[in-house]
Amino acid sequence: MIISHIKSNNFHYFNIHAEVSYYHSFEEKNNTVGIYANVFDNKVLVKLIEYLNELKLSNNELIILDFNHINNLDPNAHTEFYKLKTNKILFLNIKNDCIRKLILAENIHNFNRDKGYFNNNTYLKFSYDEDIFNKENVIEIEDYFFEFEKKLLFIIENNCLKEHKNNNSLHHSSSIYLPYYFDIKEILTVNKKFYILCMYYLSKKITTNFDDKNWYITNIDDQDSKAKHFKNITLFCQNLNSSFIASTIAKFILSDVMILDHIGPINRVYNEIEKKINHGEKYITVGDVICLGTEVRISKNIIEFSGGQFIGNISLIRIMTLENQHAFTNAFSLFEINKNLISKSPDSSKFKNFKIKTALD
Amino acid sequence: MENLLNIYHFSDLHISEKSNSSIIEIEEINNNGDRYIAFKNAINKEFAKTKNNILIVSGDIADTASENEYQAASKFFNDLDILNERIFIIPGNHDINEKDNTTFWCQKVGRGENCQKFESIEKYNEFSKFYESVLTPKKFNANKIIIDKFICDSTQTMILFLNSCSKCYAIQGDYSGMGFINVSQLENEIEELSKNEKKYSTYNKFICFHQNIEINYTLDTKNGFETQNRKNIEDLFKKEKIKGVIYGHQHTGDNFNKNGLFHLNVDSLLKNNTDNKGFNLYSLEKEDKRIVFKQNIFSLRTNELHNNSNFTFFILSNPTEEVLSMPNATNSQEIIANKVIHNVPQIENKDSENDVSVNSNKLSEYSEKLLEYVKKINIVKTGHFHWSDTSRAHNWIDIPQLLNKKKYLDNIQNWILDIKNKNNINPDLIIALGLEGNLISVKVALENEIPFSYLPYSYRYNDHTPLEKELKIESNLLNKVKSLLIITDVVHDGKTIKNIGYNINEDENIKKLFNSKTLEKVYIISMFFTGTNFNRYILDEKDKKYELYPITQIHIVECPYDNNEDGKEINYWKTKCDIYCNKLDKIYKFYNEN
Repeated sequence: MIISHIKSNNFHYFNIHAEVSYYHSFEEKNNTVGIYANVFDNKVLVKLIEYLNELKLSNNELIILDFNHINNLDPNAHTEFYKLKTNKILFLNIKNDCIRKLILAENIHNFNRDKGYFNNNTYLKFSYDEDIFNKENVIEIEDYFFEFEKKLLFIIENNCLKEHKNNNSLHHSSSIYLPYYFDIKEILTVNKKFYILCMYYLSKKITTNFDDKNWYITNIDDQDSKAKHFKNITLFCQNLNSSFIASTIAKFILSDVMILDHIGPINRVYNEIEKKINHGEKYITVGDVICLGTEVRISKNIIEFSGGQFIGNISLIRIMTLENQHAFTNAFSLFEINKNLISKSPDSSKFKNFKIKTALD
Repeated sequence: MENLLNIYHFSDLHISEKSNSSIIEIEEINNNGDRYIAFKNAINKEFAKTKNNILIVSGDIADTASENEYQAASKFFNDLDILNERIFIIPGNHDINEKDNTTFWCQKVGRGENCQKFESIEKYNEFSKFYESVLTPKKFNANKIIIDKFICDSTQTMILFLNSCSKCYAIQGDYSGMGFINVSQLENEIEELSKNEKKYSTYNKFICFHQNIEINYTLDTKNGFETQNRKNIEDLFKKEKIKGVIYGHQHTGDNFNKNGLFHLNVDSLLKNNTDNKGFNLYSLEKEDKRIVFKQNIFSLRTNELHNNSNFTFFILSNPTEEVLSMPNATNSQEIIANKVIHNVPQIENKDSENDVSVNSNKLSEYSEKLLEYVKKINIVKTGHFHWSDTSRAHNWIDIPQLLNKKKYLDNIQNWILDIKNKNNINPDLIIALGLEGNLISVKVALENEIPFSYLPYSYRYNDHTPLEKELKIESNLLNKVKSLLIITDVVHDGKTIKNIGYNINEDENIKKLFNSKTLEKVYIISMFFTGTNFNRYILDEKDKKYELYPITQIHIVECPYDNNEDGKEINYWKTKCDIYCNKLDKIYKFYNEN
């Protein structure tokens, strides 16, 4: 299965590292590298070529292959790559060594370097067709990720964000009313591949953002050490949505998962039987939607009270009810609903009317 | 804990050329009988798991020590995937050829009563040939008491293998099998050994011989050793600071500590007239600054559910029990012997003639592996557990504890995918049940493009928000689902599954799906089947619509159920449950009663 295909008016974008990570995490029997993989295996390449050929793209359609986080390829990758039945390809973030394994050396033209995209032994952009540069130089690298965000926004607005029938529905864990709710399960139903891609980016957020914090990790240079480090982290979840999100992310980052079913009466009993939180172990709480953060705080208290180390929260959607300087800092999400989004959304957008209410409204 | 050494121990094969149902016959080995194959597979599989393994066979390989018996025995040992150098064999009283002994002495001293009372080394002729062919290049020296030794530096352990059969058949009648060790000769041999082997004085020493030096299981004092000889041996062992003795002979597997000497004995491997048959595994593991000595008992059971053959070996288990603590002679390490006896899942024996139903109801090939995990982390709890008014039991499998570790979860996810593929389950929709269901199904859900959704357990619907109870599925697919796969952690009697479609659900999608005439098949893959009799068709024998594929089976005891006069089952357990009424165990309620 190919998960990273983002189609726009101008191109078909593929994230090679997402494909490689997905292959190791879900398609390979023994998952030992997950998201820390940095080699573009031929098995994934074959899969991608088959997928691309089945698309039957016309000669005018551009394929963008993003090699960010890929350090190496199979030595005979070029024999598979030449089975691709289209020539209009733009490579992003591809290392010099990688492109030389993919395309025979004599075909590499100097114009790739002349355009100023070669830096630190990596081509930020590479093509064997000079015309691509002429036509595509208006598109910056950030634009490709923007297409992903645009798709995420579309799915959240049109499939996930729903209006409560009675307009004011009492939130199940906080003392507020919500006119809208997020139907996270719907994302899986609408587009399973896109859900996996979201989980890949969320996993990358964990391995990059948590990486930078001194309270968490220092001096990790190589991928193996990083993998080893994240193996010692437990993802903590406590409802149906978050358990599926946590178990998906755990496949990518190779971590353990702890479920504490619906924080409430049931867990008072659970804890009597077996102390589940291990002293000194690191926990990241996983949520579907973080609104006021009530459940995060409860989870944090349980973890810390039991001797565990709470190192942050990760969620698919986060509603920024506080200004940045007041918001909980060790929290990362894939999609944020903040005042910018609400104010800039067109009047027809559901986000425009997004509100959190109390009885005082 | 770091595993340093695994000692596999079996004894008393009694391979016989007699046609006697109480004994393992040569034919059973030569024709690869079920029990023999079950054993061979079990020991080869176990032995391959780790590197630092040895195998000890403490005598009675044959029954009458005939050439034919040892030929079958040679096939037996050659079929094991174990290097000769890792195998240690000693003779038992049944490895003495009485005829050879008598013939020798009759020739030497003349026929008559006296000729039977002498001991000879010729009585080992057949055993010796077998020993040297199986253990090449080792030589069997019948004049020595210490016939072999094993030294393990990582555990600082030395095992001496003794021949305790020098007087077997020298004493006739019921006493013919009695063990005897010439203590002064053994002292001399130990002295010689300690001169050549400096480690002898500092290492933890164990002795292996055939006969039981203690008589724990019978009042028949003719077993084991003669009283005075036994006392002399025990004195010598005390003087030499022997930590433990390893033996067979009495066909009773157990371990115990008596007067500072740790006894490890084992069942007969395959002899029919004993209730228990099997082999032992002693694992020496490093834990901090001590060495933990664990005993696992592998027992042969008749079980069609868990294996293709009629027999299989199970690890018997129970809560870990410390039975011995011994300081190490050279450093601060301490050897602690633990007897690991985990909860034994209840296994239903089935009529082996009922081949058709048995074959269709086999558990998965990963059954034993999952049971191993269950035992290893001890997650089967006893008590009085309530999940709702109508869901109660006296056991609970703490599945979140098992799924907490990636190494276990990864395997379970793979097994579920494998069960789906191997049974040609090609569903149009996959549904996971509960948080546990979500965890175990993530691979089967995301490695393909089959639509997937998840629901809470039906017996806990009231604990969930309305959103969580909705089945998300594209509306145009609802009437097209012919085959549904449900993935859950536990299936007991199938009520939870049945309730999704028929009882309490208010969700329109679920109603439509389960009432759709298009839906032909509901497959269920679960980690555990916890009911009494596993049946592939869990809801009704006639209702072939539902098919259950559990990885393994653990029987969970239900709390008493009954209806009152109104047909409602309310608080019946408060008067009928022995555990609750007599406060025999802890009461766990996973819900608010009101």
